[in-house]
Amino acid sequence: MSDSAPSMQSDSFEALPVPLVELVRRVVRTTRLWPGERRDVQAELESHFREGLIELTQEGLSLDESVDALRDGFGDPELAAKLIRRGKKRGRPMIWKFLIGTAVAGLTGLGAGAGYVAVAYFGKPSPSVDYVAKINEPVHQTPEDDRAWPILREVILNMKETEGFEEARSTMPLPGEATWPQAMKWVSENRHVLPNILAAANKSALGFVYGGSDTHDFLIARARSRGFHEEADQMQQDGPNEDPLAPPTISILLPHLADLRDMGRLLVLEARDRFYHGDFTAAWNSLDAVHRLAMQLVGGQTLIEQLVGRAMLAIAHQDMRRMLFEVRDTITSDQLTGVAASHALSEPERVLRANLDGEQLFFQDVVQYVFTDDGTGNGRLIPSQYDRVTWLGHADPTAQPGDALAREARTMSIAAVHADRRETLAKYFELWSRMKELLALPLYDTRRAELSNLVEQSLAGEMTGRRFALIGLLLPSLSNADQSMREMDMELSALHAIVGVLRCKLEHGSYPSQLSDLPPGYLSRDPIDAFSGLYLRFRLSPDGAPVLYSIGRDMVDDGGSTESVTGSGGRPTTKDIVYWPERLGR
Amino acid sequence: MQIERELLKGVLPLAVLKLLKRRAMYGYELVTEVASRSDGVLKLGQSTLYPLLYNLEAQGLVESEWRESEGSRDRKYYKLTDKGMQRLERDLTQWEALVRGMGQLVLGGGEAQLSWIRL
Repeated sequence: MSDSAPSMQSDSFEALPVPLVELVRRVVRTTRLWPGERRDVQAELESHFREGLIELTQEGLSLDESVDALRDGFGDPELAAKLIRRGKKRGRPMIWKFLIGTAVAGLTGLGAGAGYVAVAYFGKPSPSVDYVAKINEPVHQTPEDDRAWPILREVILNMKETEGFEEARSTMPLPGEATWPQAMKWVSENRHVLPNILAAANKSALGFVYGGSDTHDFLIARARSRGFHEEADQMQQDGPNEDPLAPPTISILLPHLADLRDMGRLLVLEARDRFYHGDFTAAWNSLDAVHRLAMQLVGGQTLIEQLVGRAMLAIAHQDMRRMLFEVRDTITSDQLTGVAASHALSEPERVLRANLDGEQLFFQDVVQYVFTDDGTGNGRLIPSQYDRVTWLGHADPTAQPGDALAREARTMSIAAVHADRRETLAKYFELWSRMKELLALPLYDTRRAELSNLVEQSLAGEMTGRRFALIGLLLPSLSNADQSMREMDMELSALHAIVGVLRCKLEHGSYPSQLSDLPPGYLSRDPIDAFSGLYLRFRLSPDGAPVLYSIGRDMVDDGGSTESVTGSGGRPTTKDIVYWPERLGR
Repeated sequence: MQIERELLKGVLPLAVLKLLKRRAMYGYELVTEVASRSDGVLKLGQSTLYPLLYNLEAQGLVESEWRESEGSRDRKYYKLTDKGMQRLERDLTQWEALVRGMGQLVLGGGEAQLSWIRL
């Protein structure tokens, strides 16, 4: 960088070194701002580099090193120019914005007109399959008497939100902690609904019907029950949000999830209170009800329900493990028999895995609304419909007026090259099939690494990405959901293992030295560590306390360490996953 | 630690407003202050800083003026406006709620760190 030295005239750097001058010029030129704005940006960037040079050279860096550091630290000049332009434009006078807004509105109108022409040219969707009905098929197969939702619906409408309940449910305190009084007030004010929640938990399935007017009616009733009468009136007046051109599966609402999670929290707090007052059985039954409610969600058709169910299971099982740890030296045979017979432990053969069928139906529904149908199963992408789906999934509330035009142009360019309906579905199922193969592998199989960027890799390249843009938009990476569900299954195995070792202690006076030493029949489920394929690790700590753990996501046995580490994809985790004593650092 | 760009997006305006609450600062000073006061976790590239400042200015949250400083160098100083102060208070409240919520989501909140009760 010998060319920079002659440019230096003094240590105040009134004249910047050539590379920095060029950088400033390049950025300023690329902004394409008004002359006055450019001058201001140029002066500020020059001032910035001047300050930087003074400071860095005072710190002992040579001039060349300082210039390099400042230039490298600046980032991408093109991006900077683009962002500076955007920022400066936002600061322009209102009258200018008005004029531009008027022009954009006119152009948007023209664009919309062109869009309608495009629709007329490319055709309209002619959906022939009711995928909402397909998603609802398993629901309707459940007899109405076996459905929990009708009971839970009434529970939700009768639940009370007491003062401070939000803090209580977010902190989930233990007795004696700061928010425990608020938690108990919330429980106390809702005790009248607990029997109904328990009754609903005993049903075989949730039975929530997806879509339709029931959900809308429920939302109105829920708003009224919380005192939001104006909102309820407005919803009633507006009617269900039915866009005849939107894929109905996209419009499905799941307003019950947050309420069900609250019910789970309510029951866990109730269990803690019961346990605190010495009623182990009642406490266990409350937690077991949370387990059952959660399993109803895990059995849902949508991935989001399954993941909420998984979160509820985690909180119930954690308290179950805690409770069993506390009573490990005092639990009676009858209590342990009751535990083993509870729902959480009475289905040893049931393996928890994510149910992905709903995701497939969802994609097929979108396809029939986004492509034309020529009667042979093929068709073309309809730009306006593709835009509608994109908009539903990625609405940007900060979008500027000009963004609409840019979006329209992008949509049209994709439509021009996008694969047809048949090819899109073939590609989707090809990817889906590969994904299922990989998801079937155990977590410790190195081939699963392909999952992390399967979709991106398969659609790599600008042209391929555009040809299958719909797949790129809608095919989720399912590896995290799958792993989460497998970890949930492992937690269930851990619970079975804990009951096994407690039974051993009760009947033989001591814990086994490892799980495989348990007598036959003590393990109702193979306690397999999903990260190794071997049994979960069990040992006694130096003070004689039992320790049960999985080797965790790093797949290294750290002896039951709960030290925090960064896992794959930057997710925080612990070295090992310790189930007993209570699991820390989730 | 390198923080992902998407995560930083929402945080940096708050960090800048918070720094400007103390006193008016110029661009380079903001870059160094953000880095040093966040122990290097938040790194504000210049290509990010100035667009960010221009956006805040366009929203009326900060205002700028050129001043002559030591050594007769011109610097453009940014200071918080009343509107910026109100936004800062609002965003800090939301930030605290977010941190609390994320703690709950990521660490299991109170459940993760509490010792269990005894009979």
